Amino acid sequence: MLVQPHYEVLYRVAYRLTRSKHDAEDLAQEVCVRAYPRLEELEKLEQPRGWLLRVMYRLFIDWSRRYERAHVASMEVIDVLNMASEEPGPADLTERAFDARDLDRAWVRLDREQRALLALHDIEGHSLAHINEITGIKQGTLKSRLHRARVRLGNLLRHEQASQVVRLQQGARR
Amino acid sequence: MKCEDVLTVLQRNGSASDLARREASEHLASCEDCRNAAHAVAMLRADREMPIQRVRDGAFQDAIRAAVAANARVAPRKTGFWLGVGVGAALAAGIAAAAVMMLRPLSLSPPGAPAVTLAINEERDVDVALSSPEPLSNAEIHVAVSGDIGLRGFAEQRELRWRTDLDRGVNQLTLPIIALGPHGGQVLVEIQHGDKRRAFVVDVRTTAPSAELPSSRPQLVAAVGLWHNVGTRLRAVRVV
Repeated sequence: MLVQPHYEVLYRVAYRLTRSKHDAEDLAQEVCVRAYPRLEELEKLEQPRGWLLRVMYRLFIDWSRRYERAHVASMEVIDVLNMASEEPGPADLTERAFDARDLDRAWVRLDREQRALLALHDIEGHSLAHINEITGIKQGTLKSRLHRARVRLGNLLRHEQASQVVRLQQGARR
Repeated sequence: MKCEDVLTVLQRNGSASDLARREASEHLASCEDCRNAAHAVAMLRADREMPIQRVRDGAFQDAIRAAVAANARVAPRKTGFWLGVGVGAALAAGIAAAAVMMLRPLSLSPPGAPAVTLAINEERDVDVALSSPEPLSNAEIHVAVSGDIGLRGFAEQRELRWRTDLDRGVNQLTLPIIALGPHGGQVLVEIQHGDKRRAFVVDVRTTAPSAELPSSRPQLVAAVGLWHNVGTRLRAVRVV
């Protein structure tokens, strides 16, 4: 009863962190495993979600190498299928699919803390104060690390997009 | 203006001064890092609007099952009762539901007692989760059945006692109950450690034999917290 109301949020945040349904399930499940022996403690908290997110953050940062595997190949297909459900036009759908794929590729090249900060702040919309509670990193430090993460992601994305243009040009020449 | 402040200022619609916004815009025009950062933020914002793959039905129940299994002890089968991590998939829904409901304190005595309903002659593994905030070495477990029920595999034996170590966290006790007659009965579970003792009762009710009743799936009927700091807290849950 304590964890269940937060499970969808845990899964969603895990999905933002990992960009993979399967890894998100694994991560959310691991949070439940860690929470289970501490239900008494959790019950006393006014904001159990913050506690659960803290656990998730630490797990994600320490996540084993097996979760570092690239999901690029499968996500291209999955993302296109997902987008089809929103009924955009074919051009829009293709563009979004390319954007999502570029983001997937760039994402796995960020370090895990950078992924966590970007997912929590720029995707999930948590404030720096809240991220400070989750990560334990001081707000001033968070601000500069967030900026560095954004710059790095922007660089990686531009590189991905430039590579895509080159590939398209090479394809056109053949 | 520092790079890390530029996007913050530009994103503050209305709350940043015109001067600050102009400074930020000028900075952005001349700073490649900040343009890359702005590009990243734009991509992430767009990504936020994308639907994510929904959580799978049953994922939470699987998570709870994993949590119970991971926190259950691997215990020696001294009496044939203790099951550890290896209880496996058969525990399924019952244990998941009870694990969640464990947070809701209920009275131990009727009508709040945990209960399970069996058809006459039906055998059912009944799971009890014992949660201890600390390891308890050499705790004595006492199980006694009364009424029209028995312990499968223990013939006429109505009472069992044994000693075992309880781990911190959840320890799982599986009782193979059989309904022998129409009147049901009760299972008493007592745990003694040093001068501390906890006991609770599980009601077993019986119905006429029915082909539709599950015959072998374990059902977790009680989850009990042991020896909390205040020394008196005891919990039980009833799973329907």
